[in-house]
Amino acid sequence: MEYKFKNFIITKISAELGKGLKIYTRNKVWIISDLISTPFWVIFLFLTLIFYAQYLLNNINVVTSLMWGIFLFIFMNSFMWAGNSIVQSVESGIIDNIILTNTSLTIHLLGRNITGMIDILISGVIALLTSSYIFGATLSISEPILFFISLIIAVIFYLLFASVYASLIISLRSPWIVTNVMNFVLPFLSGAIPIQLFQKNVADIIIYSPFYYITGQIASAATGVYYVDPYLMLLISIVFTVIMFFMSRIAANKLIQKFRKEGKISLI
Amino acid sequence: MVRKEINQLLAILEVELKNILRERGTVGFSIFFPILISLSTYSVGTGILGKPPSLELWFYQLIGFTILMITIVMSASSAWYIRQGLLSRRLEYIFSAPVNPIIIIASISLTSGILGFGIFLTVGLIGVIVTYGLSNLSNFFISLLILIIALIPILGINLIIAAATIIGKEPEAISQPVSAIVSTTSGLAYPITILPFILKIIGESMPYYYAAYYVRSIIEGYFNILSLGNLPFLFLYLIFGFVIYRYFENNYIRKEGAYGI
Repeated sequence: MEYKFKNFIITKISAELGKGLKIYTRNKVWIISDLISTPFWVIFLFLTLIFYAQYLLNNINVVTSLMWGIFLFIFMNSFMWAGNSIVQSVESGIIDNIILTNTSLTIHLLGRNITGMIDILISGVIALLTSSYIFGATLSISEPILFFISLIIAVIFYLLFASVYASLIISLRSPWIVTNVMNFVLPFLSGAIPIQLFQKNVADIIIYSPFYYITGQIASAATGVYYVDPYLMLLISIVFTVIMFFMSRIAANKLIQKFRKEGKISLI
Repeated sequence: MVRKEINQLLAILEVELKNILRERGTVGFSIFFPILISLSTYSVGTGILGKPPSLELWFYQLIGFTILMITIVMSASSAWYIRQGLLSRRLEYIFSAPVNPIIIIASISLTSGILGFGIFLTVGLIGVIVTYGLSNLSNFFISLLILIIALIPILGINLIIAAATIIGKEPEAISQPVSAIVSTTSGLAYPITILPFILKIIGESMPYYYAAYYVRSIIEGYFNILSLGNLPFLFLYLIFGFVIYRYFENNYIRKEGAYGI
């Protein structure tokens, strides 16, 4: 019985991953588009963020911190848009079938998330190389082991967060508006823009954000600048990831309840 | 003859404007977005400097982000029109009807231009009042007229994007690199003087840079009439756009009969 259940889950996951990869490789024009756009967006973000203090462009520490900020900006954006992709499932009418087959939103979004992760890899590498080539940022990682551990934790956390986010926006008429706003608000509240760039009183506020312990941890491991003890940060990030796991379960159950009660889960 | 085409243009314009008015969320977001980004970077600036930067600098970015928003709306609308037309096979009926496709594309671009003008009017008015009070309002209203003229060459770039969508099929994948290049090189969020030479040249050869420059210089009172000398050259974009679009339409849609995808 348990074996069948596991097999069932693996089939669902592989179906979603297969779907995601097929869609990604089918749209080659998107890959070309990303390859052209990313270096330009990186330069744009860099210069826009530093607009008020252009003299900092000569400071290698600031430039390197900003480089990781832009990498994390791409990282978070990708998961937020994966959450937003629930709209397409609603519009194409497959969301009811997803719920009927008792598939969790986290698994359903895996297909979109896998393309997002390929995007992070490609765009992330381009962002790092562009920052290094144009602005002279240093490509070395201060704490490589902590960096990769925190990156893995962040991937798990944001996979779960994307499903919670999707369940929250599923009933909205224009969810992409919320996603766009969140894409700008979240990096500032999460330490994606490394908090050493801010004055101490601003940094003191950001460390109260739960997202700081997920995203800010990556920035800290990359730059080597910690506001909170690295191991305490790691512990807190694991705790928040476990909490997010339960939140995603609660969100999925609420959706199923809504579906059973109303016969549909979205406005459309 | 011309009267018939004007009537067609007005009819499509009416339908498209009603479509936009139905999408209140999109309109609201287009107005809110430049304010949100400019305030976000202003807060980063405040954080880095430890004190609020000058409001004039915030206004500089606000105007730039507003023009960026207009650019994105305009370039995406032409691309989406072609994409949705191909998907729904609406293009098949349109090309069979006695309506010149250029009239259709022009009215779609005009609609997005009107939306862009509305965005600029609202956001710019807020920005001018917050930064300069009532003193620069007359300059702001003059800048609206210049903006309309400066946006016309951009219609040519929209036609090129529409032509590229006929081949590439994916509207966002086509319009995204254009938005990225325009955003980076046109001096919208920062002066182009800090850009590498080649990017600066790209920026100066496109109409977006001039749209931002004219608007800012008029509002802030340092406008020089001689700077309008570049404007006639920018209208070459309109001619190129028209020629390229007609070429793709004739050779890839009409000739091959590839109305769908």
